[in-house]
Amino acid sequence: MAESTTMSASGTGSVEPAPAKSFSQRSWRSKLRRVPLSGWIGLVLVGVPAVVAIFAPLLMPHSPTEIDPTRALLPPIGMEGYQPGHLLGTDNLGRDLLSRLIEGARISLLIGVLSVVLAGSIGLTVGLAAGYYSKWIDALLMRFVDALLAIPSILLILVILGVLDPGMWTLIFVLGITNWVIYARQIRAEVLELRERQFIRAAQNFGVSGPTILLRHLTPNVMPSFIVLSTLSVATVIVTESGLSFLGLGVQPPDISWGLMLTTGRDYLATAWWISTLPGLAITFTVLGILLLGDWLRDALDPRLAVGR
Amino acid sequence: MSEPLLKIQNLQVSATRSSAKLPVVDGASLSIERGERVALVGESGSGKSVTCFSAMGLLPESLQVTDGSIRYQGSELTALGAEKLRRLRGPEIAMIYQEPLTSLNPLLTIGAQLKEAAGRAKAGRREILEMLDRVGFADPPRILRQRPHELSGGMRQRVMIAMALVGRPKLLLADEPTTALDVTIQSQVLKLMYDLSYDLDTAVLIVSHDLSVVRKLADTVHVMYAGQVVESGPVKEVLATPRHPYTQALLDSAPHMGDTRDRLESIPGIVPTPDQWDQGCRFRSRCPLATEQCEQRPPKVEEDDRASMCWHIDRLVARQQEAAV
Amino acid sequence: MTELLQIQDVRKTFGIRSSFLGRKKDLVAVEGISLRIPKGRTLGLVGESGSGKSTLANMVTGMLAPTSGQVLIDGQPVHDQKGKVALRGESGAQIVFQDPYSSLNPRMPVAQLLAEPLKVAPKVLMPEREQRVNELLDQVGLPRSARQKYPHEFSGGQRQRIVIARALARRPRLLVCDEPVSALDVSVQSQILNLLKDLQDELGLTYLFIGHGLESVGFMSDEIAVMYLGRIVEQGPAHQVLADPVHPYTQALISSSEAIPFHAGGTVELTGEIPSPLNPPSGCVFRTRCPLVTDICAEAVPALTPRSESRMAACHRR
Repeated sequence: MAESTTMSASGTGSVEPAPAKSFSQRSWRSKLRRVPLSGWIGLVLVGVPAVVAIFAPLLMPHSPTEIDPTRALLPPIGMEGYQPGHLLGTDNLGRDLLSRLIEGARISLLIGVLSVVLAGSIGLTVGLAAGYYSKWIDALLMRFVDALLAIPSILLILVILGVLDPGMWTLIFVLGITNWVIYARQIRAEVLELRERQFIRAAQNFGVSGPTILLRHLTPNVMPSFIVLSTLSVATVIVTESGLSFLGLGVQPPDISWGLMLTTGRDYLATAWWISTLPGLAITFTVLGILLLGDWLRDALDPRLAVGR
Repeated sequence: MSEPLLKIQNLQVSATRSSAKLPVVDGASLSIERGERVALVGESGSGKSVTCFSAMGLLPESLQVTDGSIRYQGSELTALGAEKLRRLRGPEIAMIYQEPLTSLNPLLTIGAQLKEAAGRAKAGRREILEMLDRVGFADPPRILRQRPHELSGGMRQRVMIAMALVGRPKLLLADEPTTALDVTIQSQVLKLMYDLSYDLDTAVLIVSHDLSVVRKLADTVHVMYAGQVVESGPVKEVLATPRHPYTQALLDSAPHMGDTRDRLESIPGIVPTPDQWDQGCRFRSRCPLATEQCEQRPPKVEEDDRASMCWHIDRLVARQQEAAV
Repeated sequence: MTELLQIQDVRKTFGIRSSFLGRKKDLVAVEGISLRIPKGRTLGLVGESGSGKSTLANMVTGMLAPTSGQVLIDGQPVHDQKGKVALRGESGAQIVFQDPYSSLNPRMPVAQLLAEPLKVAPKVLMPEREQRVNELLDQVGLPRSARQKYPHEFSGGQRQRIVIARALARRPRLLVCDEPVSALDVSVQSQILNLLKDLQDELGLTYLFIGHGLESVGFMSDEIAVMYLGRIVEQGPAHQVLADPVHPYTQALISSSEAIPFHAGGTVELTGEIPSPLNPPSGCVFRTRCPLVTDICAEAVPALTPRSESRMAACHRR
């Protein structure tokens, strides 16, 4: 028997704990107190663009689409040729970069979050159903998943985008329905393992219905990997979006996304590096923030890690 | 040579967690002579497995030997480097674990795994087949070609024993080797260990929570509680007339054949965790004989080949005599 | 005395396909078993893994439907004609599992774990549910402060108390204990066994107590049934079976439980292992390991026949 683990688990029970506060109060306070540094960094890295995206119209110093050729390719603050009023400089058409970054945050984050919500909810549902219900439901769903996985997702995206008009909503749809298969596979595998645990059998024995078992017992237990998958895929989706925008299949002007900005700036890398570097940095930091946040969230949702030790 | 095969003295193993040092084994001593069968009994959390693992130099990274010595044939193991320790494993000291399924690689044949174990001990195919025959396989060459999943739990544990003993080690460490097995298979495996230890003159250190396992196999027993050895001595004597209230309580709490009791004696409460350990007797919070005196470090009382750590041995003995009348 | 549990000639087979296109083969897990437990009593079921005791337990709790025969609790069949569970809540059986670690959802606090059975129809409503949870904690000897804690904050023995409390939530009259102490430390085992005995006295519970060790089963039970490869080989009052076993398998089980040191002549009675239920031996299923085997054992299946007033055994030896 693993002595160290049984020992640390055994002690607390004998000690009379303080009269309990309501469950939610206690857990939130203790969870907040335990946010590690990396969690805070993640919170800030994600929080800043999120707040900026929400209050975008209030924060923009200029209209992000206002063209002024006389003010083209102005450098950001601290460089020679900086002009007050354009804190981060301007692009090749004289549009204010700060305003464009702010407006781009809206669309980029919206695409990232919504497509992951779409993919996640399809994937979670399919994974839970396939893992928990009868063999032939499982076989049916999983063969479909396999078929989808067999088609390169970029090909699928290109085909769908060929049929539908490109744009933000199309992009969300496309990225959502091509990404759910990874969730389905992962969640199903975990459910298959969890299903054999005795607490599931115990619940079945009490007559708890299938959907309730899925919701109350299985879903919380697959959450850790669901969160990890989700944060990873918000990150990849933001990157894919910039790739598609680069190919001209993503967000269409006059809409703005960070990916699109990256693309427009590439011709000026040698002369005006800031046009694509700044959105690039925005993507990098946001993705990093999401990953850190997800890491912390996974731990925070685990009662074994949240209390004590 | 009067030096015992393995001598553990005042062993302290600690978990180091963010600069704080928490002992898990706290001053355990025991020694094993050549060919002797020694048992370490205790509940989970007593430190019995950790003591056993440290003799093999196989502590997990979170645990470290922080004090005391482990001498194998006169040489200090705690001072040996990882490489020298590794070379001892197999030909000198071998180990078998509780869970024979996870201890075998599912992808390799039994033959390949036995060869690996034998290679280090310079044993050839002939020795391997001979060993498989000894552990009771009717058709050794066939077993060599099989993989772990094709064998039952009892057969896997036999394979583990064959792997451990093929190099003819002088010391076999066994961590709860029969806990995962059925009763009738349990006694088969124990008998096998007993016979092999007898025939090959291999010393055995068996870790178990089960007193009947100890009674069957071992000559000497050390009872561990909360990181300390609280009682040791010849199995027959210790289990007949314990000299520590904990041993007595363990014996009383297990149901036995033909039990006519309506209730079992039970030890109230649970084992104290390392952060609750102090100088005093660690069993006192659960002990029926405890007095204020027990808050002080209990004396180690030695008598012939028996030893125990308790303030109230005389009262315990008096109780036993009362019960016998 | 009235019988609370009646198992009537129950048989359970599983169709096993040896390979993808291979033919289906019947694995007989339980073969024609009949048992009865009077109200308030304990029947101990002993057997090694592979003996079919867990399959039998699952049929009593309703998790599995018998292939033929039926299980009655207080005269009501556990399964209806279509094999669907017909008994729930207080009229059905509840189960205490072996492993207190995997039988509690790690992400639920105790209050929620204990309340869960009460949320299933017929629902117990909120204030009463709270009260019941407290009552359950009292009954199994846990402090009420345990309500907000999660399973990992408890030791094995305390977890098993939670499992027992949860099983009692719906006030069942029949409790199936599937090796409830074999995963626990010795000193904790006795606490749990005592608790089960107390609860039985207090609530008038009936137990089907399953174990692989004869010591704890013998301690708990009024009557013992010994299973081997899906069949009952011996049955009778606990103290009689343990003191004077008839079947060679029971004799072997007892001798391997008795701790006679090997150096003092302790022996191993049984060689080999339980055969695969896919390929059971002809005649008596125990003959491959039996020290007393004779020719007739391979030819005829010994029937479970009365040996004295209250005892039965399935062996050709008289």
